[in-house]
Amino acid sequence: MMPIAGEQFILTDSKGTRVQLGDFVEKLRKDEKRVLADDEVGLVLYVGDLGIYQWKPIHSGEFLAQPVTQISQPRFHTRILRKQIGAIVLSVTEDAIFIVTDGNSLRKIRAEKLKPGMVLATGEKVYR
Amino acid sequence: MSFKNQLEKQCYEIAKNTLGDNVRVEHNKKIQIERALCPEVVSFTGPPTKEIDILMCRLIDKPRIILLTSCKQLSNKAEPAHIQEWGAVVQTMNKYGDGALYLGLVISPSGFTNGCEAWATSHNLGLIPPLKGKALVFSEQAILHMYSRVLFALHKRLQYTHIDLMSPPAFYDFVYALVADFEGREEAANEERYFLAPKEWLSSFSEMYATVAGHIIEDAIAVEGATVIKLDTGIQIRFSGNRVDYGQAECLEEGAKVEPSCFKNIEMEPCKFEFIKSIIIGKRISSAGDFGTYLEYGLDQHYNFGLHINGFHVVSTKNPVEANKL
Repeated sequence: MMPIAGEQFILTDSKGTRVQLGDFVEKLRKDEKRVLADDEVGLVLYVGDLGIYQWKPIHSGEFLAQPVTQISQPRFHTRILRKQIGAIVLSVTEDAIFIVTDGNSLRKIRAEKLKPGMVLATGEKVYR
Repeated sequence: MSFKNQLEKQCYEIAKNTLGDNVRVEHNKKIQIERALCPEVVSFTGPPTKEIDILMCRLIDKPRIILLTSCKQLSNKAEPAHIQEWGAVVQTMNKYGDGALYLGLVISPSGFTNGCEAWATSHNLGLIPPLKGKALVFSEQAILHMYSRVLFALHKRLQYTHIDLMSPPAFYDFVYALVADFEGREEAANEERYFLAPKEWLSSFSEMYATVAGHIIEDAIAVEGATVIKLDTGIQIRFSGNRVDYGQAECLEEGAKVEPSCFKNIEMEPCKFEFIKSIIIGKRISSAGDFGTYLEYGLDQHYNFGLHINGFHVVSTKNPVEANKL
């Protein structure tokens, strides 16, 4: 699950020390047991037992740490879009899923169909 | 062993290859759940008639975790009712499983209608192919590749832990993460132009460029029907008209060597192969373009170097053009 562009990932270990994605992946790739898939579609590694956290920006401007179980490196990248949602500007892949309010209901849309003025389920407004 | 449809047979063979003998198929069967004290029978037949065909794969033994796969070979997209039905089967099996844990997967090559995702996430069922925003039809080969990928990954993943996958929508998400990237691959498959050596994996222009950018040209050769350049660290690029192969593989220079046709400047004036080599060797790739009938690389931001099916060209990109002719 990597809707955010790889370049924007902030990964740390459980002590908060920054983990460089490229070096980390190359190191783990040698451990056969962790390689869930390594084929013409891409690479998927299991890291759930390593105490790795991904830091995501939230509305307040702070970062939220979420545990990471898998790291995927697809070989066929989708287009990257820049979106300003609330106060945050994000680079997201065009197929990243957002949940927006639609009257009294919620619906899922891809990032490529996200338009200025839409409001996410979290209450944040899409500006551009 | 009989199979309900061709898809089920193919999935069975894939599961057999991945998991060995821990795979079986059951059709319209009263499923007897083994319990030490009171054997219970759970039937999925009878009014209203439900024909449940199951492909069962035992993934690990301690604890016993079994994947129940439903192979839907339908003329239209699968509907929420199909997902609900499979959710009920997996739920029932988990209820009477006597310690065994069951995960559910639905394969429908014709795809799924929009309402299926909500049911799949709440029942924690994996869906193949992925339900995505684009109206993309996956080839049968891609569907089977997805199934194979999920089985292999799941088998390895369960060696670590299983608890987190049992709660919705973790298993749905796990399967989605493994099959979602096929979308980009399918788009590249429509072109079938770039291939990564030595495994001949389907590739794309962007991946090719990411692999060769910044590398230094060490040699160029022409063989029958193709031109080849060799880069540092063993990377080679072979251009043969409608196909571009690249990667770390010596086999890319295979073929009888021939004398290439060589040209220079925008006017494409004939020149010697040695002249071309004297310019390109030692230069670093700084850009690339695919023009269909030829592939062109920018070198050190000063030259454009083209690979044609039967030769090469080189052009200076310095301005003014007239003053910088080669």
